[in-house]
Amino acid sequence: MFQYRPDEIANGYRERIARLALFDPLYELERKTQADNDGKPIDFFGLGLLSLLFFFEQMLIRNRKTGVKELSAYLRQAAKNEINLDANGFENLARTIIHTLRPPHGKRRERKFFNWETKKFDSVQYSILKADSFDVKTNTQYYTLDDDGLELVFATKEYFSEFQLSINQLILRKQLEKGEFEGALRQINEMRIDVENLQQRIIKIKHEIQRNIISEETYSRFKAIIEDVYYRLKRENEEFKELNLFVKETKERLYYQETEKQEGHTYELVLKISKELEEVHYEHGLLLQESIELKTKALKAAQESLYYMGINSFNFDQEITARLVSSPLPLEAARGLAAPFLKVHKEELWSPLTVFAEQRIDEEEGQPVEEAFLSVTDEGENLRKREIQSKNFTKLMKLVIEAVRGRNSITLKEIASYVKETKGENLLQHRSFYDFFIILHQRSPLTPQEMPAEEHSQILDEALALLKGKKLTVTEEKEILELTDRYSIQNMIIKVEEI
Amino acid sequence: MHYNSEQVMKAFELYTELAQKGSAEKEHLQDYLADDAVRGLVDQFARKVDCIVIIAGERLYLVPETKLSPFHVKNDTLKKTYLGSKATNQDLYMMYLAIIVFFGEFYDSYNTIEATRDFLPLQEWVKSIDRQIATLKEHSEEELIEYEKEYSYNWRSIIEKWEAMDPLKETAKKQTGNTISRMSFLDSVKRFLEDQELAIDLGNNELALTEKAKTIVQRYFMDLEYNRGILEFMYGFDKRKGDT
Repeated sequence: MFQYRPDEIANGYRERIARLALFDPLYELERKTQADNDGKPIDFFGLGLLSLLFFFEQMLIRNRKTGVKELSAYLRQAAKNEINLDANGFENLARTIIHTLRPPHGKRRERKFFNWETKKFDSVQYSILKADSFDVKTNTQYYTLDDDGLELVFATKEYFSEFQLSINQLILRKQLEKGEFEGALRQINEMRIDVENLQQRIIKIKHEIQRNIISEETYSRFKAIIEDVYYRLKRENEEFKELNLFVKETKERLYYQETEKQEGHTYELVLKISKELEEVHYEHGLLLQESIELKTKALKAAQESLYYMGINSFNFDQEITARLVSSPLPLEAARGLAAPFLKVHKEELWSPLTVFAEQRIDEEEGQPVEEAFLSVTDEGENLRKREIQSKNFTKLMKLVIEAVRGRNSITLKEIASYVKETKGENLLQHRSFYDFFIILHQRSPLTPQEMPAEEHSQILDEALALLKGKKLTVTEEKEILELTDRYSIQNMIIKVEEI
Repeated sequence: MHYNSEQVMKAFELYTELAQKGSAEKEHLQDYLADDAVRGLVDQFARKVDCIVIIAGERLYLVPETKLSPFHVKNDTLKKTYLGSKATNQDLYMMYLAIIVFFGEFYDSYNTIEATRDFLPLQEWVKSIDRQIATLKEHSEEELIEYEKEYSYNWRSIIEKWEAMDPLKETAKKQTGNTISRMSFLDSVKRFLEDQELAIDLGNNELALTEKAKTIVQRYFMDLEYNRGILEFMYGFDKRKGDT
């Protein structure tokens, strides 16, 4: 009979809670009560999960520019029949979801609980979504799934992230055997995410080693983690090698088959698979290299800092900030307390001997040479941009003339739907379209002869030449057209008259 | 102890590297670890300018000690470089306070030695300083005047300084212009922190800590010995206060 061990039941309690806590943001979303324009409650839980999957998919296709706009566009498209909201409504929805996944106050998401293993109060912190980059021009922040966010996505898929790569390798092999090459390509992309995730994890471990090794105990814990990572990487590397071989064989086999059938599509696909797989393998190989380095160098260096004695807990806010202002300590103390964060003093000396050194005279004669080069390239770029813009405008003018077809006036709305029908929506997504009409409106009335010496003059020259003896008058209408999610423009009437 | 000239030169090179960048990497680290003489010398050099050398993973850091040391970066340099030509000592001490509050916001728990947040939005930072200023105002006027007699810079002027600045205007799109608002002041502190490689801007006015900043907190402020030094430093002031 087996022994009953009540003490061991709660082993690893903290890790289990940490895994459970990952689902909290979804439940938090579920508690939100908001209705759409029809008064139907919105399924926040579902949208939250959809958003997670959306971010995951963006990672798969390696699109790093996913912000509120992109998410809201996706949600709008996904739920257009289910949820009745306008573009703004969906944007708010996307913002709410992002804020729940990544609280805007900056504190990590936290779950406090009573730890039944240690019989103490404890807490776990996690982060689902993180800022990936920031576009200063449009003032947009882009997001990507953090470690725990990926874990959450994987947790909904019945296996854990540690075995993710191995499992993906296994699936890939099966797919290749069955000849499902499209699926195989996607599998490789999933593997790429796994590798990137591993990469981040290794960097994290590296940093943690740097800051946290304070006792023999933590040292051996890190040592074990690094060993683990190393063996895992090594095993995966073997599998990669075999997979590569397998793909190579498949490739050769197909090559002979294909030449008989004269049909190259599958073969091309396998070529692509082989290329992508090798790329992922290469990235993975770098990781292996890095883990070896971690094992030898970083750990050794960390061992040095074992002499260091750390304190177990330290609350900067309480012990330094609060102490400074509530005592209060003299203001001077603030300088001393901030000192560790600053760099040391650097004396900047000037030697009198400089007087006799070689002097540069050319600087006094107006601008330095480099500056002149800069402005030239700048100008060049401007010119190029202008040329492109001018071509765009000519194209648009042609479209307008086509759309008018013998009538003597047309609205912007009609032009837009004409463009949509004949050229598809792509043109409307482009900024030039809107610039064009705004400039037309500014410069109305327009005739082909007119050539004012303004900035825009050359841009419109070619477009205006198309008018051939006609005059355009553009006047504004009240209505505002929302042509795409991104752009809206006031409706206009464009009149065409013979001169 | 006798040093040969090669060791002295090596130590000097290493020290210069540290003094210039605040940290040194791989090859220098090897010299430091391998040769006791070099190590001893570098440590001595650092001590001479009231700094200490910390090993953290594959890096060495030169960290100025908590002290009112003449060797630390000069007030004037900071004022000139980061706060503009018209800055006064009050501005500077306001900045010191802001920096201390900044780190307090990240490390405010006894439960974990890691930072409790990933980033700090500028607005939260303003609020947090507001709270500290409110605490300061709880001291009676006489109490604060009493301290002023003893030290040249006083807390009352800091309180006034902060309250004279425009609180954040929610409607204004850009807070970084020339008007002195709390946001624009913190924007200069932010630039200072970025320049010292202590904070990174994530966009949206959200600031995160760098590895360097985390290392300083966890390896200096949380080191048993140095921590005691910091407490003594603060205790020293308390004692002087009691004497008067």
